[in-house]
Amino acid sequence: MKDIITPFKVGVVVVVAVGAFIWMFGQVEEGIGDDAAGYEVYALFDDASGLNPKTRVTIAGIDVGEIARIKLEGTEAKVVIRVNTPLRSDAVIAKKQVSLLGEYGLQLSPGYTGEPLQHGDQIKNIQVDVSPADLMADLKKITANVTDITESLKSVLGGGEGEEKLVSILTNIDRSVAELRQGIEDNAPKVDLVVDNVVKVTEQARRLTGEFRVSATRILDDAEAVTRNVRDIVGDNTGAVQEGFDGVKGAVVRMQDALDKLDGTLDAARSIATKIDEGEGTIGRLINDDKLIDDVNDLVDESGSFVRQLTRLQTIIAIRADYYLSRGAVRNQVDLKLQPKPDKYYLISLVDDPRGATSVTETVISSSDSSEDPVIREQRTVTEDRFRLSLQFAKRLYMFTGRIGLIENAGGVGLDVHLLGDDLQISADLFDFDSNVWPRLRLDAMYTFFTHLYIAAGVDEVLNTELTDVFFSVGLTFNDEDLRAILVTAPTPSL
Amino acid sequence: MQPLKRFIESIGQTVIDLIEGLGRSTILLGQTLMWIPRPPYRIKQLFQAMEFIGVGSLFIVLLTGLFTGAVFALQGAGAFRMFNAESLVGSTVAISLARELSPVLTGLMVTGRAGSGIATELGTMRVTEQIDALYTMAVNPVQYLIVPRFIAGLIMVPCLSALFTLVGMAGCYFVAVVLLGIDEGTFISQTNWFVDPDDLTSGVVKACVFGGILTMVGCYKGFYASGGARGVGLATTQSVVVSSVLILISDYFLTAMMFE
Repeated sequence: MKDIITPFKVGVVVVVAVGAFIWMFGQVEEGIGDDAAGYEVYALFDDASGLNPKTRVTIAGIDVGEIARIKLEGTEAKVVIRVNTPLRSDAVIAKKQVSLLGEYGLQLSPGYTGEPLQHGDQIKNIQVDVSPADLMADLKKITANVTDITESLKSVLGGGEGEEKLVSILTNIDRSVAELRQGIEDNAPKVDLVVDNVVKVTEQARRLTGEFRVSATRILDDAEAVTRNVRDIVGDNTGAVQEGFDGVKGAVVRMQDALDKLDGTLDAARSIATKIDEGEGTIGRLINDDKLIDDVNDLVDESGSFVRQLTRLQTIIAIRADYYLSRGAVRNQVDLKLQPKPDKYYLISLVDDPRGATSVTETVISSSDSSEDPVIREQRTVTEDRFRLSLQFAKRLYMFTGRIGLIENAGGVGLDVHLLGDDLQISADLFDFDSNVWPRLRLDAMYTFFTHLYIAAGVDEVLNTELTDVFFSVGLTFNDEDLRAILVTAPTPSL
Repeated sequence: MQPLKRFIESIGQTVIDLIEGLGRSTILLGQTLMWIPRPPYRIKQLFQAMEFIGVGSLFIVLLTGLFTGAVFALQGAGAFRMFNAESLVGSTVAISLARELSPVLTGLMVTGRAGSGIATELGTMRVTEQIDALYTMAVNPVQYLIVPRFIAGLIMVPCLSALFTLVGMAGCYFVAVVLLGIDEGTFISQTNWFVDPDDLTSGVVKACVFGGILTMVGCYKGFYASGGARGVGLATTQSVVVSSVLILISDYFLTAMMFE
């Protein structure tokens, strides 16, 4: 039994001790600083006194982190904090005193509009709280000012001399008040007299106003009499007025002459109009000849149609880059799409394919030498890094667009299916029927997610499985308006 | 001239004894470490040593821990109250216990109880020639007597230290929260906030070192005891004194290494 009890006792103690240790470890391990989700940012303080590693960092009084370390960087203190909450570039960090023992904490405002802060970024907005040392310094200044004032007062009023000055000032004030009272009492009758005079002056003014009213009536009567006299004078001078009328008569005669000349001019114009009505002269034929009018109308109609076509022609330029996964190469393509109608366009493409342009030449050599083969066929395949050209005519019918023409230096056809309001285009190109066992079939899906930007993915050489390759593409498109805007705003080289 | 000569001789003899003792203890430690991985493994002796060191010291260690935490809380609360910062009592006592008080006081308590016991036991075996008898039976006394005690010290003293911390915090909680009315939530949150896992692990590491020191000193003093019953008593006393001093000195250097 003893053999069993001893290990049991030891085991119990060990288990309890290990359990206690693990429990305590778990309790204290919940600190923010050990949180795996946390990340570090830093701030530069002029004064980091009172801040220590593990000092709390709070937002609205809630712990969100702690100071990881503090080190000197130049003349500033670099305080690295570890937080577990998202912060933005307009975040503000403030050093706040949390107790009278000189203990400080960091208070954060996480920011709202800036870019999210990443591990290692800096919090640039620092608020520095007023420290007790600053308060004491301000208090010291105030105390010094108060001391100066009190010393000045003391120098003026302190001591026996100051007391005498104070007594003298009070005596002077007392005397001045007494003199003022005496002055008022002495001048009271004079003030009464002044008031009486003012009353009399106002009464006289009122009387003068009444007399002026009578005078004004008389002045108006005089004005009326003057008007009457003027009228009489005009009546006596009618001869002079007659001379003025004679002058006016001469002017009327000259006006009559001018009207006669105008009549002559109008007669000439009437003659011209008559000739035009009768179809005489060039203008008359222009106006009266129906055939000529029809010709001109046709010409105008045709000109309008031509102009409409010109204005309706859409020019679209597209630039596209395809990345082929297996080859690890990039294929570049520039498209010029001339679209006279919404359902018809001509497509001119210039392609820089990493595979180049392959040409096959076969040379047949006949030999009469019996020691050699009578016929030697040499087939030479030459691949050159050359641009490939595509010229296609395309016609759209509902959601399908068919294309035919030259595709990358070889004849071919293509079919586009337009989906999602033309944002998604699935295309199939079948061309180059000679190079390999099967013609080259390229399938791709293109999605336009911005007005000018699209992405695509597809499979090339679907039929020739040994050459099959997957590609991903990105491209840009510009239409007339974009090109006009670019050409207007683009800088022009000058000599 | 003769007293001066004796004085100088005594100084020289002391230095020689110290160096000799250092050498013998180092050799004994080396033999112990060498014998640890080598069979036969004395499992029964190991458990007996663990029971003697750990279980036997449990009560005194827990009692010490409980009242240590309680008295530190009482004193700390009085001091912090002057600054209206009583909430820091829990964290202060917890850090003190985890880092220093638990391993050191546990080491001292176990030294007083188990270290002295080991020295007495081995010293008695030495003076009664039981150790020599082991040699005659082809049993290595280092492997049979010292290795189990050394391993038991390494294992059980950290366990006792962890329990010391736990019980000490319980005593602190009782005094601070129940008796002095400090806010419980603040007490716990401040304690959790300020105490690091590193504080706990450093205490355990220290306790492990102290366990090794006190068992090795006890074994060494007992193993090389001589002079009959008086020699055994002297070895016991020296064991307690040397272990205590070494624990305190090594505590300083361990703290300097861990926290500086």
